[in-house]
Amino acid sequence: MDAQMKRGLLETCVLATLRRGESYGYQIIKDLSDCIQISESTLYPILKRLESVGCLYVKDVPHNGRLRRFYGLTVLGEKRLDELFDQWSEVIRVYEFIKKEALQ
Amino acid sequence: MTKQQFLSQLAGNLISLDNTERERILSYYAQMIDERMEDGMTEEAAVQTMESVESIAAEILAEHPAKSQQAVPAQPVQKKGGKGWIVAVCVIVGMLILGIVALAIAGLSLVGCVTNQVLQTQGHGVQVELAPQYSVDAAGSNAMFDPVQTDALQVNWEIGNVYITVSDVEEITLHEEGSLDLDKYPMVLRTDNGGLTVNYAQRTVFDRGISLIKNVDSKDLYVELPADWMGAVTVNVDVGTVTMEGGVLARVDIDAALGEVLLYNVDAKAIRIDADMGNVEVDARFDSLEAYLAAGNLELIAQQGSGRIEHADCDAGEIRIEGDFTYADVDNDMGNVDVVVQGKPQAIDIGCDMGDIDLTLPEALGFMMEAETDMGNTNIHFPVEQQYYDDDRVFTVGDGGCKIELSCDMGSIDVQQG
Repeated sequence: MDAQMKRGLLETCVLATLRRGESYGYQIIKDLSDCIQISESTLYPILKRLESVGCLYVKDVPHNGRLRRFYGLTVLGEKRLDELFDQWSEVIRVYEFIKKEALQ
Repeated sequence: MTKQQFLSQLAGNLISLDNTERERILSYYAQMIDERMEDGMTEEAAVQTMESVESIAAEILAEHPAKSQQAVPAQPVQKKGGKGWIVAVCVIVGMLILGIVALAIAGLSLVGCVTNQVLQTQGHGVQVELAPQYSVDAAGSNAMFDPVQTDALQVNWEIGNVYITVSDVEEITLHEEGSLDLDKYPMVLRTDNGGLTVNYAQRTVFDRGISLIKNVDSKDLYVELPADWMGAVTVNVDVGTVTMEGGVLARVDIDAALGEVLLYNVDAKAIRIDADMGNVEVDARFDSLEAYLAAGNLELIAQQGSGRIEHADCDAGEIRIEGDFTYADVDNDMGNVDVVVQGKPQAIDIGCDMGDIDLTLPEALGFMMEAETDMGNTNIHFPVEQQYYDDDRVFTVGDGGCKIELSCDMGSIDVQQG
């Protein structure tokens, strides 16, 4: 898949998987693995970017004698996800168009 | 390779990054290895399945343009030969000294305009970051940062959007002077270790919200909102009390692990409160409300015109509800439930595993009630016009309009006229 496209998709996937509730890096990767492969070093900048623009909050929770960093959706994150989701209907329309034209 | 070796190598490859970011990255990868080991891998196997240090570093560094290229202004081209290099050295040393002096001053007090840049100041363990997305307008900005008071931080601004992360400070006070445009970006305030006070002196209408996140602390969180505030508030607090006063809100969402939740004079479309330990007191008007308490009492006053109490659930604690609402679903595992109805609800459902149910209804209310208790008495002190004692013990009063279901496993039911 095109890198740029994958990045945009991953961002949406991360937001979507966090709508269920807070999660941590390793779990996010596992949750996404069913639909899209993502490495730790790909996930890190996505989480960082989403946090820096206020879509995510982070909190460190004690776990087994260490801290586990959880990520959760902020109000903005939820709105962002809704916006991205709304854009999908448009993407699907474009896809249908491309498919029709390309297969002629 | 051990985890430690892996992390040291990674640190070595990330030497060009600043300390905070490097530590953050190392902690991220350390957690990834820990998680694998918790999944049953040996340390070596866990490290083995990671990407190579080199490829991780390459990917990270590609995201971070070299600082030196950004920060150092282009040096004027020096003429070859002569003593140009001495001048150059003097200029650079001079700039460095000026820079250090400037930093020292900034460490004490920083008042100024910020335009589309990241302002990051560290001093006395305080860090303020203004991310570019939330840049403060140069014309009207006034970002004041005073770390002299090591235990307090105050940020004033007039125009612009702000994103603030505070990692170690006792208390933050944010005071909005002018019209903060939050239509584009809601404000996210986060403190890892400190109290958080948010005061909104005046507010223009906007539909976005603020998120307040407080991770670990013994201090409290206090939010005061003006009457015409329109937005959503999300609060996450591990330790400490959450107090919110005033505000017309689209949504209030509060998660409190330890400590009380106090909401006064809030008007919200939806309120959701999740409290693990600690009491919850709500005096509000709402369209819908959900409150889940693990341990602690719930005291709820539903102001006139309130809507549905979708859930008022306590695992252990007393529940007291009073006011005007259209529907209530109340559940208490251990503890009494006391409900005083003032309006004309359509339905009330109260379940109590261990404890008594006290329900006070307005004189004029017509209702159809099913009341049953496994161990305890059922007393209806109500001038019932029609009263049927069949197996279901259904009592009908007036038009029977309000459907009431009361059920107790152990405890008495008492229904009286208000």
